[in-house]
Amino acid sequence: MTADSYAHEHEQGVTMDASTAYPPPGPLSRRTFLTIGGLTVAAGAAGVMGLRSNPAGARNAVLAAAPTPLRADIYTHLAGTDGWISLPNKPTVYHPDNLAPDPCNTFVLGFADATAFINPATGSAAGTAGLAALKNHAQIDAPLLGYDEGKKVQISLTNLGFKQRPDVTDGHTIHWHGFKNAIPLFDGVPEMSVAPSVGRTIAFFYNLELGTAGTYMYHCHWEDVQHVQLGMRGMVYVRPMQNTATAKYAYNDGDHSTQYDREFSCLLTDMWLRSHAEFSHIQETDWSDFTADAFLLNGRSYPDTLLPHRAGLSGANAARLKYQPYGSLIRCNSGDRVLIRMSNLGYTTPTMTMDGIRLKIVGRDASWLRGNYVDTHTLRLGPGESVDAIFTAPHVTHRTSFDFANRNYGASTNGATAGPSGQTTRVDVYPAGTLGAQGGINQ
Amino acid sequence: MRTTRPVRRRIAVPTVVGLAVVAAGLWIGTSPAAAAAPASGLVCATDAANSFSLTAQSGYISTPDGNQVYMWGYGLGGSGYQYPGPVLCVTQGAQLSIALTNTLPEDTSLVFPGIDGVRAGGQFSQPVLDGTGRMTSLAPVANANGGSMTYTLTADQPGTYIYETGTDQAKQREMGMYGAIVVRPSGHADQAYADAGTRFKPDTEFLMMLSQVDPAVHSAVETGAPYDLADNHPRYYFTNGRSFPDSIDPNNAAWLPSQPYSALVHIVAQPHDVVANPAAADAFAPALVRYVNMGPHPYPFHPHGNDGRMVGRDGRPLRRGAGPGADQSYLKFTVDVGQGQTADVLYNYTDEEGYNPTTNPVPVQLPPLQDMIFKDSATYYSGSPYLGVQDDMPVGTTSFNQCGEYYHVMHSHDLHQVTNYGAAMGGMLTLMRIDPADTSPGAVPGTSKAGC
Repeated sequence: MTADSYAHEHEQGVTMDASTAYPPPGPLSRRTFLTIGGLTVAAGAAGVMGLRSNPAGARNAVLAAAPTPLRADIYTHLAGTDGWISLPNKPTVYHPDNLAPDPCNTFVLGFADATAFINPATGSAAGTAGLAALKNHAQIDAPLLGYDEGKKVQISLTNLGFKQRPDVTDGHTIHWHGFKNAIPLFDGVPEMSVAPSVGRTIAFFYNLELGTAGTYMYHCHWEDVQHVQLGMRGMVYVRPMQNTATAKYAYNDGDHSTQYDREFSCLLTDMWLRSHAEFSHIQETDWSDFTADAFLLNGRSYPDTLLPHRAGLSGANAARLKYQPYGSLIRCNSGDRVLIRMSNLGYTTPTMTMDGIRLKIVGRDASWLRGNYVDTHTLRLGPGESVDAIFTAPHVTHRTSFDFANRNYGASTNGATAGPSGQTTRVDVYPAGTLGAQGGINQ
Repeated sequence: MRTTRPVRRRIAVPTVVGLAVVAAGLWIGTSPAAAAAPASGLVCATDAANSFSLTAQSGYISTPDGNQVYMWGYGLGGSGYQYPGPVLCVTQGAQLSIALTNTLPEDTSLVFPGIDGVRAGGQFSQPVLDGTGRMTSLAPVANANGGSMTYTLTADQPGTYIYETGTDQAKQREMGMYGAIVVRPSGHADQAYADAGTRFKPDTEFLMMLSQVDPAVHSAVETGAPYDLADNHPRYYFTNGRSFPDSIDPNNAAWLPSQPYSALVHIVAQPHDVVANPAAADAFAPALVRYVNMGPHPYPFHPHGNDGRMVGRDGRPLRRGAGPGADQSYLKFTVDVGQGQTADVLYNYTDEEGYNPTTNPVPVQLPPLQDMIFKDSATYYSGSPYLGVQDDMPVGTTSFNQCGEYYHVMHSHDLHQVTNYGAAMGGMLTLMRIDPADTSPGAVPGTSKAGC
């Protein structure tokens, strides 16, 4: 594949980026934001919702019935459901799943992207035919979400239920893993808060104040050991207020030390295929038997990681990877500063190594490592950790490739086939000036 | 020698105590017991002469699914088996003397990773070799069936440390033979280290010891059956020696006689305007959580709600005064605690948005009650999204909430460890209870609202 053909495939805009989702980002300027302090929401917003507790303190079950005015700058809508994906075959009694529709082989739970169906009057896709049609069509990984610091974001979630398991009436939630000073309602832990029943919708609200820039992850927290493992997991990140139209940064660094030219996301996950097959076959799972036996990068195993994003696929690959939209090929020009946003939502601790290129870790857990950057060639993340690392692409005279893979090569085989698989991808460096400016993350 | 506990301001026991769980994850609430002991916070064993006696012995612990596990470990003097071992608290510079008496059927010893210059029986503590040069113990032993050995050391650096068996560690550590040592900086019992940036609110100091057991090994040790430690298959995961929901029961709960340490983290929310009120901010100094990993795996421990600030690791500060490079502390939303490591993390929670029902309602419409589903018809939710407010729950759903307080979970993010023998939600998980602050006229800043 040539650089040009890859770029063309990516011009389809397949990588969902919520900043372009409806409605478009509001006109809140940095100056306006700083004026209101960047710390707390200005009090005194219209109190339409203030019906749930009266001044006397007596319990009051009256529910707000009035329409809620749009309060957020950005609206995203997700659907929680089940689905099927394609991984390298690992022939056991559990895999390929004999219930899987061709050409898939693995049962999953996951989120589907319903943002395109949002009703502008309500900021929600609830009740639309397009939303309902997403049942049994979860995508792995969940939609990649990126927002700008200074915005207010609403993510709505509709529980569509499971086509494969109509007997299971689980709730779903969104837990924005790492969001600072979250209130339980928006933290999404069902035992500490609420969850929508099947067919119902809930909205989570995030005020991306100054200081929230960085790389996070999100996942369902209902029966989390199962729902996360079976696929209800994705990456979310926040771009710093310091960004301008021409200069992009990982953090508000004040010294350009986190500036980059291109950015790529890497969500690391693993799968215990037995637990997937047990759920599709109405069996209980003893989670203390957990053993990861498939390893994924952005929801695919090598060599699928090198294939384009969904809109760039054709033929058999397009059908097989219809619900695994994200490729992981990293492409850049010599001299480019490249930001890797990496999170781990597997249950194992990978160490990703980029052989031949040094990495500068500038952030961990969405926290800027001011003055304490780490110069390394490995990125080690436990479950639930994130890291932001920047490298400068080396000088090359022709396209040159570098391996980017899990150092645990047992985790890079998937067992069934010889040669690399699993959490493996590649960095392709082109001579300076070959690739045009990056249009957005992962492009 | 005596056992003391930090003075606590609260005598109310959270309503969340006294829960039982069955393997299927069904919650059964019971009436809160009016226990007299302080509900949560670090429980220290202290001694004026810093002289402690530990008895190596066997005992049993219970798990929330009704199982019992045969354990080895320590009791403080003659006070009986406990898991984990007693937390020994001393001040920097203390000369510790730990007299170990061994009632187990095999030799055992103590080692103190991270503390130098340990002496055993008056001699420099070093590995014990047999006649062929093969190592039989990492330290001089207390002989099986009644032997003793005294270990002495100087606590010359503040921080969080561990003590553990130094003999047949693969087996004896699996069996539960470990505990924590807390060394406080001299003159600053309210700081983790000498640096003022490690200051914490004294009544919000917590231990978070992470560990696991494979009950098959324990049963085999008890009955003399064969076992293979290389085939370790853990089924239970603990914070402070308890699996959730036992982890949130109070300190010294009568129904957990050999698991005395609560893992509930109980704090008061900083009001959203605290930054504008420095005097009040002083009353809301952060809590200190002392993490200790005694298991054979790294545990990625994820406190919800807010980041924690890592200010110390393995008994050394990440903040040392002023100047360039002096502050190497950092924020984390997942505390990575490796095997045998300790981490000191400051944590607080700010009611950042200041949502309230009248002037600043949450900016979304809540689903009506009939559209919400509560797992197993039980919840810690108050019925209201607002801190300090309670509201109605659906009929048939039990709320453990007491006064509109918030709860956040804190747990291993290796999520199969958040189970009890494979059943969610349990295992290495505990709760953070966040009370609304008392903002009434004349209230002491930083205290819980009345009724909490």
